[in-house]
Amino acid sequence: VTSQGWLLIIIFAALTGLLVKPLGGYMAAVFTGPAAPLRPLGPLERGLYRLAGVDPAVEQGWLAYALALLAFHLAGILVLYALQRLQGFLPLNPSGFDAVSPDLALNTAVSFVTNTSWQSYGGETTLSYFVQMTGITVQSFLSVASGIAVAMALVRGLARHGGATIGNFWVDMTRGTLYVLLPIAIIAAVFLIWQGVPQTLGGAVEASTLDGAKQVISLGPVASQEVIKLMSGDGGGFFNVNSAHPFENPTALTNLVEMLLIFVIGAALTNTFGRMVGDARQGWVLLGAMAAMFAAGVVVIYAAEARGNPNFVPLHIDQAVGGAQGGGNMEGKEVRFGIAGSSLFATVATASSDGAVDAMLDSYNPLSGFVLMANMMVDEAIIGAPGSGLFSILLFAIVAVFVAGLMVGRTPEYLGNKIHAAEVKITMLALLAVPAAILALTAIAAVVPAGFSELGNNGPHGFSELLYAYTSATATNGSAFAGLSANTPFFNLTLALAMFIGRFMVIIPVLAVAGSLATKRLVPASAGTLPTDSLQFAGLLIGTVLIVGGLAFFPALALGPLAEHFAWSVGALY
Amino acid sequence: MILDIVMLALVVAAWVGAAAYAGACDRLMHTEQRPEANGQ
Repeated sequence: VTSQGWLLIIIFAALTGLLVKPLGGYMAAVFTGPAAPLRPLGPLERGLYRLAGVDPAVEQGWLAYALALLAFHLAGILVLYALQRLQGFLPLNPSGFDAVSPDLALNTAVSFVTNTSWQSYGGETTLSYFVQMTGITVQSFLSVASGIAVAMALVRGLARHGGATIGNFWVDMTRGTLYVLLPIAIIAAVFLIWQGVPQTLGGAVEASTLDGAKQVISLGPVASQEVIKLMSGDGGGFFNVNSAHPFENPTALTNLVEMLLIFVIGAALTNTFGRMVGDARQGWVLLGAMAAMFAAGVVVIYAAEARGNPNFVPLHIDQAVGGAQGGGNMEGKEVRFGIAGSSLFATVATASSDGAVDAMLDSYNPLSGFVLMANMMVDEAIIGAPGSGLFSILLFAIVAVFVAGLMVGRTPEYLGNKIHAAEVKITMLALLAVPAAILALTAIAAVVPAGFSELGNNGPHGFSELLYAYTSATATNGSAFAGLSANTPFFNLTLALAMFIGRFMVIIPVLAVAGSLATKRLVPASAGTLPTDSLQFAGLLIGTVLIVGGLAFFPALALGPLAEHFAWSVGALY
Repeated sequence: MILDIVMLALVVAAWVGAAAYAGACDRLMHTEQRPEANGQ
């Protein structure tokens, strides 16, 4: 490790921390204030409501909210599927791409509507500019707006007492998109263009290499897709190699800004939560718990990658830090980012559920692979995607107060709400959907030829490739471990199922809990109330996240990255 | 074309399942919220 590397990590954490309060306050105004926070966009907001026939003053109960969300995303899937199947007839297709195959089109449609962005395709060799812009980019905006909407609905459920409604889905979607996502996306896209990211409708260009060979260089409307790919917790890049491509992430500065774009909205939503429940400390406790888990992950990955690969030592490959190199395990990493920039990016992108990559995860050391998977297995509780990270950590908070209530023999309370059997059962439905889908689908893929025959490696590393794929899909992350040929009907359909379960089988119970909590009468704090704005509760919350995640996944992790780590340490490679 | 119909049928089936799941959550909530379910 180097002091420069630690400095980068500290600067990233400090910048994120500095942005939490102002952005959190702004988002609280967006989702609670009656007036438009950005006045020039007010007429557009009202015009959209008139066009859609929505009365913004009318709120919905949880079931109506959930059904509106489901209907909206069903339409999104159908549109994105149709765009891909018809792209040969649609404009802005300078490379002349034909229709995407049905199973791949379904996988991609589900992927972007569920905020996952698992990509079984290479963007620059599969999709036209028209589909990238009107399909992929649009769904990236809408899927994250819907995640933020669900989180706001849950926060309202916690903050309100004796009501029957949790907000209006259409208003939350519109406000999140217009006032939060679009302004940040426009500013960030201009920044990326300044740094060298292309934004053009011109076709690919042909260049001559020094050897005289012809090279086709793909271009396109990259910057506009790149920003929402990062902000959305989506991660679906314009190019196949994602943020490792110099046209998606050209400099060390863009690498830092891209990580901030991935993290900052999710982190700031904890502050929005604190403001909406009338106690800012509640938000800081959630953020503190998330930050502690994140810090542990980044330290392990950075240390493991900086240490290098022990199997290179007998080959006399120099992995030491020196004047000419940063040292460490540089396989699959970009020289312009180095070990620290890559390790931090990988931790940010898996903890946040974004799934962008600036280095090839298959080449990380097994211990790093363990942490990357664990980051996703805790169900977005470490910052997570905007919105889904907040509702996930709130689910764990409900479980934590329930466990604490059992320990002291009292009815658990959270923010003045008594937590009854209904909320705990429905919360567990949400939290168990993810491990159930990951473990069952990985087990099936590990034993059927359609699954294991597509692996690039054997042994525990091959198992990790399968486990990572289903973890990434179910946790709506979307990053790929590589080494798995996933564009087959088997993987396209089973991964689509994983993404569907990971998104909607979680969101529906979350909204049900929100609806149930909204009806509760306020219970004043008493001597038996567990304080949830304390360091003690942050510790309890971390323990709950790790135990729920650890108990469910430890056997699978032991078969994959942990077994590989011990074998790899003594020279066994797969 | 046949594969398109199969894919769309899968999507519709998934959404029907999701809507039914939402209904099941609603029933579970109402059952559990009855006073006798909470020992009241």
